[in-house]
Amino acid sequence: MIAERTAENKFSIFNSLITNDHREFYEKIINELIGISPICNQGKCTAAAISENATEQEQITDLMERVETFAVELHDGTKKLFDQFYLAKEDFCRSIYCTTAYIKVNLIDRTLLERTCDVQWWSLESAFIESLMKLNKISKSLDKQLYELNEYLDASKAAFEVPTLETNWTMKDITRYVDDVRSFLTRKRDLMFSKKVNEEFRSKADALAEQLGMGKSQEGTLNMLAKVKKNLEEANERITIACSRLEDIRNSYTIYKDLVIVLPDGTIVANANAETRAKLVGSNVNGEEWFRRCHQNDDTTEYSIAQTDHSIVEESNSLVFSTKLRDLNTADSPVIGSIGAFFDLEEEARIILEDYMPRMKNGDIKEGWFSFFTDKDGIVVGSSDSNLIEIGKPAHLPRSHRKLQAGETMSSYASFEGGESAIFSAMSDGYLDFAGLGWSSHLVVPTSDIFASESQCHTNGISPDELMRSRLIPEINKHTYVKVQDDKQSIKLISLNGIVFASKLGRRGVALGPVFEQITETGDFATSKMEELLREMAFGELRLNLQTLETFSKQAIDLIDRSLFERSAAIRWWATDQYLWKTLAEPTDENVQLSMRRLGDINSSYSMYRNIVVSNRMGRLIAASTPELVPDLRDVRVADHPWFTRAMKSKLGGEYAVQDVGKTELERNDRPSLIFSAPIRQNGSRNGEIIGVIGSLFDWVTESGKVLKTCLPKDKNGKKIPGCIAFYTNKNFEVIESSDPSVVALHAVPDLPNEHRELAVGESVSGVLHFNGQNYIIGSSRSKGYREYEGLGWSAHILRPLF
Amino acid sequence: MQLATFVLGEESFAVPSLQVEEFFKAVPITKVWGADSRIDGLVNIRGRTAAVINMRTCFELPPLDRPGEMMLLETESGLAEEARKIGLTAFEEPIVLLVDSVSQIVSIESNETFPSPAHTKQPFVEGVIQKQDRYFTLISTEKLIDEILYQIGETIG
Repeated sequence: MIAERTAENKFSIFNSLITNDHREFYEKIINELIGISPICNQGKCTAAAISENATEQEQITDLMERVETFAVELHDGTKKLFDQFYLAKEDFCRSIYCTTAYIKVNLIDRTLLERTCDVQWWSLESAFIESLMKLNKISKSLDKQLYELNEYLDASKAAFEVPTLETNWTMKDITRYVDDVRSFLTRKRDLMFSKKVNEEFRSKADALAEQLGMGKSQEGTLNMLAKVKKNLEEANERITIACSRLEDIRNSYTIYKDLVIVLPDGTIVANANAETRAKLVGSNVNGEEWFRRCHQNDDTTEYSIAQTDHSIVEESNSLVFSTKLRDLNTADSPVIGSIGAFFDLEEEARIILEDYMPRMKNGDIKEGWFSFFTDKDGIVVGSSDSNLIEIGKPAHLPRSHRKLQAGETMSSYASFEGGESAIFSAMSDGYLDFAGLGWSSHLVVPTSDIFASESQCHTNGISPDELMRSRLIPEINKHTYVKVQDDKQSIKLISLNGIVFASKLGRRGVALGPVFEQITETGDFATSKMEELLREMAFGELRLNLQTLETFSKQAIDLIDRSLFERSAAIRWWATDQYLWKTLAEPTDENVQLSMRRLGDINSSYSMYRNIVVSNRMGRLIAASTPELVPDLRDVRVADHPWFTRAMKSKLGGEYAVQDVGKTELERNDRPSLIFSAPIRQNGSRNGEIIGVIGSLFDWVTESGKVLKTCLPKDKNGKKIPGCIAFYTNKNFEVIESSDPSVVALHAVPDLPNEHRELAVGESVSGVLHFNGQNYIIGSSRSKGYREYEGLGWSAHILRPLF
Repeated sequence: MQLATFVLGEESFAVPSLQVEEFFKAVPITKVWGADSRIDGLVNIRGRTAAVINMRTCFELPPLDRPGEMMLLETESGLAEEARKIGLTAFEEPIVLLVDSVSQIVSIESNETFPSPAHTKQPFVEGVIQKQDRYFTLISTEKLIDEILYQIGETIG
């Protein structure tokens, strides 16, 4: 375990972690230092030979002894230095890789929190509740009708037993028709939910009706048949509505593989995926874990999460978010069904796990690097390489990594899949009010990559000495640096004194000259090697610090991209809301009030919107979520606002538009806003004519400020490192939010090197920078969007002062 | 002749190494009131009290931001035979020169010494030494000490 190593481990050349470069390095220093002792002995003998003066001899011997003591000290110093070197690297790698592991599980937690909100929000969707209640009613009345129909059929059959003049049909003939219909009477579920059975029944019923129509006094049976048919038609209609709303959701939020509405007995009533609908609707999920969990949950507003890879709804690895649907108009709000949303865990895990991984030239993840998630039982739920780390199997992790506490991190050296590796793990501690699922994230890094020698990195004119004095370098290393320089000075002075001393002995001293020259040389060699090592250490620290800033800048842009993806999904879903299209079609006072209330409800269940507005297609606002603002907005015309015009231009259903951060007439006090918009179509249908636009004013200042704060570098104790600045730039490289506007001003175009301005999509860079009279290190990352949210060409930048 | 070279700021200087008793890291200096501004104060070297001449002040350079190094000059009684032979002299009392850092001991031939440039205002600059492509300003410790003591004499007198 890395943490324990610090206490017990002293440098040993036999430690397998030591790189070959360093072994060679160490050997050279030691060889030189070992050479000192014979030189000093030679010096002492020479002293005796050249001088009979006891004081002189003593002076020479004294000098030699000082040199010897020094050599021993240098030897110890070298070992300590290597210790520090490796510990510093371990320390830093532990911090950066544990953070990375944590960021990954935190990303999952953040996504899952959004999903729990989604499913709770959808459980209130009136189309689902109305459909379920209607279906319930239909089901009950069908019970009675099918029973009665049975009786009628008996009567009809009896009436046909005696052939009359009116008909030539034999009894046998009518019996076949009656029995055909009767065979369906016990299959109420199939009749209601299976399109195929329903169609079969209708054709049989029609055939029977045709026959009965020839008989006398068959109105009762015919009426009953018609009633059943009508009921079934209505059921079908309700199912279609529910399916269509589920499809709207799936089109808006593309992260779900399927969504289902289920009756309390487990019968699937509707689903979102049209391809599997014929198979799914009417089938039963009663035995499935997610369904069982959903119904065990007694809390009225609670959601359940279950992981599944063998549901009849979706075979691939999914997380099912479910909640009960209730009839809220009845006093004890009885459960009338449930909704299950099958979240595409596989794809989500892939995106997160493959991120933050070093890649080879061909784009593959570097060999020996792995990233995976395990659930609370240690079973792999997502893997960056599922051939080696199989999903569904227990992960081969050291014991200490399998029982972490919430938020705890752990690191160890272990052999992993045959490679000497360091494993870094972090357990989820949830996000906000989402407690998490007890998952852990693991990052495996080859040991050789942790201790690889530092190639000199681009330092933009920062000298190693400056770097050594900078705040990036831990105090202990600075002390060593000072100590080495001090040693170097001491050796020099000892040698100089020796040389001067020898010269004063005149001819007698000549023999001592080479001794001191050798000492100078050895001392210089050893100390300059140590300085070299220290500089390598400094460059290593710099590189890891740069990597940290890259990681943080990437986290900053990722978090905002993910948040904006959610906004883009939500706006598309709201645009299909029936209150809104009804109001646009018929803007009566009552409808407007209903829409306002609806928008208000939506806004109050989120905290990140300043306002949500609806405009008609002429650009006149007709409703807003915040009634207080209505007087202010009464005269605002949005016809030329980019969010409006862009949404009006959309062609396909399920499109959205964005107006980049900036001032808007919809905000008071010039507060910058980011506006998402989507067209509202006639009857809420996907291809209907556009009759208005919904726009949401994202609270950019607050939300982006929060994310930037999260991504500012912190020290070991989690305290913010002073002087760091995080900011976002838009595609024109103007600052759109800054954690410290006094240094990086809003709207300014910061003077950063080109490689930070011209980043490719998803690219990260870092470097040393002179900015605003200060030396900084900087990490920048450009947005790569998230799923089908493409991003707006923004970048995130994190600055950390060197001094 | 062997010279002990040292650095002040960017420049290199030299004194005859036979006039140096010992090099050591700078030790704390006790201020002495009323002394010449070039004398920083007194130090204790193994029981002997020595006056410290700050070489930076002698060349009107700003003070150093780190401790620096010291050179203890030989006293009259400690001067080696070798030194007397080539005509070097020493002061009776221990004197310490405070410099940025001591560099090395170099041997020079007489043809490598040149007289001091005309623009030099410091009277204790004896000449310039060219060793390969490097230049050292040679300082006469006798003249340096004489001048400072003379100045003190003036002040007292």
